Formats: sequence, structure tokens, C-alpha cells
Amino acid sequence: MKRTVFVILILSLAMGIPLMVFDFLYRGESEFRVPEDMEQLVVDLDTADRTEELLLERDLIMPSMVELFMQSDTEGLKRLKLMSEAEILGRREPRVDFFIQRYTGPQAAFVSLMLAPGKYAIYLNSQREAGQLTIGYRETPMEPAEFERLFKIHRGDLSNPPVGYREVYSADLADLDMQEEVIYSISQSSGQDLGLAIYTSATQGTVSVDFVGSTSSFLGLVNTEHRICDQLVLSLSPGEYQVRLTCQDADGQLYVFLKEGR
Amino acid sequence: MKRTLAPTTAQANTLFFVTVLLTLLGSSVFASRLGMGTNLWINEFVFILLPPLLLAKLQGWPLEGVYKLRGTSVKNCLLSILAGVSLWLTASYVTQITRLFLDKAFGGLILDEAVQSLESTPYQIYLFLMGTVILAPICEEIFFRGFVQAAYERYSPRYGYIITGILFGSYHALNGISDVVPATILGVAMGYLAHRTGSLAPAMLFHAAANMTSMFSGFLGIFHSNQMAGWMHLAAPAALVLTVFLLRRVQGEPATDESEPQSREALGGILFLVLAVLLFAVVGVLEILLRLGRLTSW
Repeated sequence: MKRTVFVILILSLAMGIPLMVFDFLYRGESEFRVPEDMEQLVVDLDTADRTEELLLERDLIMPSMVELFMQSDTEGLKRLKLMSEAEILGRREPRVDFFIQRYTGPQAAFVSLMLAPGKYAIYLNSQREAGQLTIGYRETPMEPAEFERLFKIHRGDLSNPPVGYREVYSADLADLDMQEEVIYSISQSSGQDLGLAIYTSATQGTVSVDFVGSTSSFLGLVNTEHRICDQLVLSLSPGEYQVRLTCQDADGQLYVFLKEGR
Repeated sequence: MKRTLAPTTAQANTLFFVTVLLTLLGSSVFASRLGMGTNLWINEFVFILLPPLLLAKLQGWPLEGVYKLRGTSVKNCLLSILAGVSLWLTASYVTQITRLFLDKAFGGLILDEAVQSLESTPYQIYLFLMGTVILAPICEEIFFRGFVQAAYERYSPRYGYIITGILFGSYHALNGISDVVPATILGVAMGYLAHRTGSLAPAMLFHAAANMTSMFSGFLGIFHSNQMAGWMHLAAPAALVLTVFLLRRVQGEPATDESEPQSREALGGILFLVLAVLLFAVVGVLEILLRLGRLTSW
């Protein structure tokens, strides 16, 4: 028995160590995993400290969905700032800040922004460190009608759901005082897709809408800084899911729309 | 170092605390950097298996006698595998009940970005599977049923496997509060097998069967909703009855370790046991705070 146990342990090691080596090499090769269909910008952080250094400037001639994928192999906090000449739908101001730490392999900071036509630029603030920052970006023109719909929402006309979505909750947020209260529950009996569209016009106080389930949770889908969550399609395992609202000292309105199935 | 003929409770409690501490600290360092699979291998080989083997080497203990690394009958092995699968169902039921209670009382445990970022590569998945189904049953059984139980059996065999089962369950607090009671139930059953057969083989097979069933259930998505299936209320007690029936069929081969003194001695290493309990309490409180939303990650 003793010999059998040690033979199993040695055989396990003989298989496990190569797996660990392969894993290490695999991680090394794929330190940065910017999607292939994105344009890529690599910044060597070891050259200098950076303060508001312009990394990228683009000019959108059509309303577009701009997606950014950011990774870095250094621990220090890097602040990226996106400034847009035109409005960013769902955002109070035409600027967004991102704070990037060490995100490699499957870890990344990802954001998608709906920008009106005009110039936008990305600036970097970082300390000198041995390592890199990688930014993937993709601009996808939006359908004019779709942009128009979202622009209405951005301007406060929230009752403009995408086609096929039904309203499950709406409220005036003024005078509401809620702490993670369930505003809608859904029971998924079989694995199927669920589409969520959540819009708020709140500009002050605390507002946060979370989608919480046993196997997946998405926190802070909308808040006062990020007011549009449009057509978030989730593939959910069977189970109970809840839409929860936290709201204090807020203004404006909230609308939640949902689409079940594909 | 003072040489003893078999593990003492002072050695068991000290090594238990050291193992818990190393597992906790090691996991916080390695899991995010090397992946969950590699972290599990480090835990099992370095923090769980190595200490009792080194101690046995230093003390000159024969592993066959002191740690029960000896064979048993095929019938005992088969019964142990079946019992492992069966009791896993009961344990999972208890896990689910506990989790639902904690979710209701303190809120759900939401994995934040940091935890979700422990996403695995294919190699990590293989390592995790092998670690769970092969390494954990061998390493943990040598540590708990071989080493710790041998120390506590000085008082009485029953005392030995019950205390060891509780320590084994407490150790699983590192995986979450809801794992403590089910792991204790499984630990007591494995301790009983080790005591009854005088061999670690049935306990290792029981452990492997339970872990393998757990893996399969994970792939099939059983017990991953936040509702309890109605059939579980009947199946879990039935599985417990079946497990008792199977365990009673196991052929007794009491240990015949002539080197074991079987003398009662004062419980040693209490300080380390208290420290381990405090560590578990801290882990438990952190989980509660995480559930209450007072912490975003630990």
C-alpha cells in the first residue's frame, strides 16, 4: 500500500509538473490577449513618468461604439483618461477615467462607450515601471436609428426600449430610499439568454442597479456616472435571479426592460 | 527533538495550525499568480503531505504502522467507494441548506472581479481535477486520518475519528463556511473507515469517490441554483441511511500497531488549536462581511 501510494504520487508529479510548465509557458505567451480584431497600442512604461501624455487621438465621422480593452503587466496604478469633443451617451461628462493595475492573461479592463461624432483622445498618467500597457480599441459605427433611440435616452426620455424588450420596472427615484431591494425576480428553468436594458437619468445621490444570481452577478449596471446599460445579453444557468436597486438622495427616473429567450 | 513512538496531540495540533496558516497564506499568494490548479498542488504536496512525512522521518515512525499505510480487502475498498458517493449526496444537501441560510441571513456571496479573474487555463483545469480527485484524497488522508487521528486515538478510537473529523471540517472553512459541517460529516466517516479497517486505503477511496462525484455534479450543474430541489429532501436522508448500511458492512481489521502506546496523556498543543480556531473565526467573519457587502474581496 505504501509503495502504491508513493507510485501514484510520483506519477502524478510526473504528469503535473509538465502541466505546470505548459501552463507557465501558455501564460507567458499570452500575457496580453488583445482581441485580434482590435487595433493595438503598446506603451513601454519603463521610459519615463507620464502626466497627461496623449496616447491616441481619433476622429469619428459617424456615431460609433468605441470599445477599449486594457491590460498591463505592472503593479502600479495607471490612470487613463478618455476625453471626447462630443457627448458620450449615458455619461454625464464627455470624459471617462480608467484605473489600470496588473491585468494580464484573462484579466483585463474592458469598456464600451457610445460616442457622438467628433474627436476623442486618450491620455495616460503613470509612474515609470518596468513593463507595458496595452490598449486595444475598436470603433463600430452605430445604426442611425439606434443612435437616435439611445440619444433620446441620454437626454432623459428613458421609455425607449430596444425592439422586443418589455418594461418590468420604472420609478421616480426622488424620495426613494432603498438598499439592495429586489425590484424584479426571474426564475430561469432552463439555460437561456436574457437581455437587459436599464436606463436612468439620475445625476445625483446614490443609484446602483445590480443583477444578482446564484451563478452570475453583475454589479453596478447603471449608476449616476454610467446611466445606460443597453441590451446586455446574458447566458444564464437555471436558477433564481434578481434585479436589485440601491437608491438614496437621488433624482431622475429609472427604467428596467427585459427580453427573455433569443 | 524528543522522539515519540507515535504522534502526540501536541505534534498534531501544532502541525495542524501550521498547515492551516501555510495554506491560507500560500493560497493568497499563489492562487492569483499561478492559478487555482497549481495552488491546490502546492497546498496538497507542500503544506499537507510534507509535514507529517518529514515528522515521521525525523521520528523514525514506520508509515505502515503509524499512518496506517497498509492494504485492505477489495470488498472494503468497493464498499468505501459506494459510501463515498452516497455520503457526498448528504453532504451536498447540508452544504446547500447552509448556503441558502447564509444567503438569506447575510446576503449572497458575490464573486468580485478579483476572484473572477482566477479564470483557468486548460492546464489549470487538468491540474485542479487531478489535485481534487487524486492528490487531495492521498495527502489529506495521510495528514488527517494517518497523522492527526493517530494522535487523538491515544484517548479512544471514537474520540480520535470524531475530533479528526471536526478538524478536517474546520480546515474546509478556508473554502467557505458552508463547507464546514459537510466536510466534518465526511471526515468522521473517513475516520471511522480508517479506524475500522486499520488502513488508509478505504478512506482515500471514499475521499476520491466523494470528490469525483462533486466534480461531476459541478459539470452537470447540480446544486448550483439557489433553490433546493424537492427530491433532495428525501434523497439526502436516504443516502445517509445507505452510507451507514455500507459502513457497517466494512470488514473490521483493527490496527495492530504494537508501537502505539495507547497511553492517555495530557492534551498538548492547546495553544495552537486555539490559534487555529481563531484563524477560522477570522475567515468566517471575513466571509460574513463579504456577504454583507462590507468587503469587496479578501
